[in-house]
Amino acid sequence: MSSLPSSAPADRRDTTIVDACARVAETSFYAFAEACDAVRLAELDAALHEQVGGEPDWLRVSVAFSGDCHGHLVMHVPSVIASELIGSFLGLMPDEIAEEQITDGLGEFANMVCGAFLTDAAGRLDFALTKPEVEHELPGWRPVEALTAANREGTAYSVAINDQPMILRVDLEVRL
Amino acid sequence: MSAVSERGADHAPGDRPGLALLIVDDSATMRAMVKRAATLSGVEIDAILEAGNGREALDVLEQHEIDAVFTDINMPVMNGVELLQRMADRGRWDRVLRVIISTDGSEVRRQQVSGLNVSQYVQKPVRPEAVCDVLSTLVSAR
Repeated sequence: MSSLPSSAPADRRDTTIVDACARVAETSFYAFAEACDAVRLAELDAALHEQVGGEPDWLRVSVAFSGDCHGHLVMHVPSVIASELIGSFLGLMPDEIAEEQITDGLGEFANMVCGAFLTDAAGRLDFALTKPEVEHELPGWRPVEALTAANREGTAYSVAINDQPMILRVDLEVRL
Repeated sequence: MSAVSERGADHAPGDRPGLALLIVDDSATMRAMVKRAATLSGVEIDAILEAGNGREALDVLEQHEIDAVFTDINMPVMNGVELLQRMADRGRWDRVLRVIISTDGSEVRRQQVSGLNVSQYVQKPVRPEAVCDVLSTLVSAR
C-alpha cells in the first residue's frame, strides 16, 4: 500500500500508530502502552500463558476506513487485558463486565486508536470509520508467529500494554 | 436502541432545575462512559436519554424536552453530521446545546459542522473529566 501524503515524513506512520494507541490507552483506559520488540513480545506471551494457566484467549478487532484515505486497522489483544481495559473505562471490576461489553468496548478502543492515528497522520483528509468487528482467534494463536507473518505483507507493531502482549497492524492508502 | 429516561425529560426545560441530556453513540460502552461521567459531574441532571444513531436521536428529540445533545459522528443509519443538519433545519431545537464527541477530529469534519451551532467539539480519546468540564461550561452558559 502507498505511503502518506508528501507533507508527512516517510516514517510518520511507523511512529503515530503506536503513539495513537499509547495516547488512547492512557487517556481513556488508564493503561500504559509502549512499543516493544519481538523478544519482549515472546516474553510477555510466555508470562501470559503462566498467568492464565494454559492457552490464552485472544481477540481480533478490525476497523476499516474509507474516503480520501482508506484501509484498515487490526488489533490483537488477549481477552484478559480487554476485560481490564473496559473495566477501567467504565469504572467496573473485570468480573462485573459482560462479554457484550468487552466486545463493544474493545471495538471502541480500536475506533479511538484508528481515529487518533488518522487525524494525526492525515488530518487534512476526509475519512469515515466502519463499525469495528471483534472475533476470537482460534485456540493456539501465537502473537510472535502472527507478527512475523504480518510483517511479510504489511506493517505490524508489537506493543506491551500493562505488561501484556498486543499486536497492532495498519494498512493505509491515500487517494489524492 | 431504546431511549432510557431517568426522570424529568417530559417537562419543559424551565420547569426543572437540572439538565436533560441526550447521548447519541452507536457504542453502548461509550454511552455508558459519558452517562457515568455526567452522573458523577456534580452538575444537576434530571434525565439522561440515549440513542444509537441520528435517526433514533431525532425520535427522542421529538418526544422529550432536551437541553443538550452529546453526539458521535460516525454512526450507522444516520451519522452525527446529518443529525446536526436536521436539527439546524428545525427551528424548535435552536436552544438545544450541541456537543460532538468523536474520534474524527479531521479538519474536514470540523469545517463541515462549523455552521451547525455546535457548542463544543471534543475529540476522543476523552477523559471522563472532560465530559464534566463540558457540562459545567454548558450550565454556566445556560
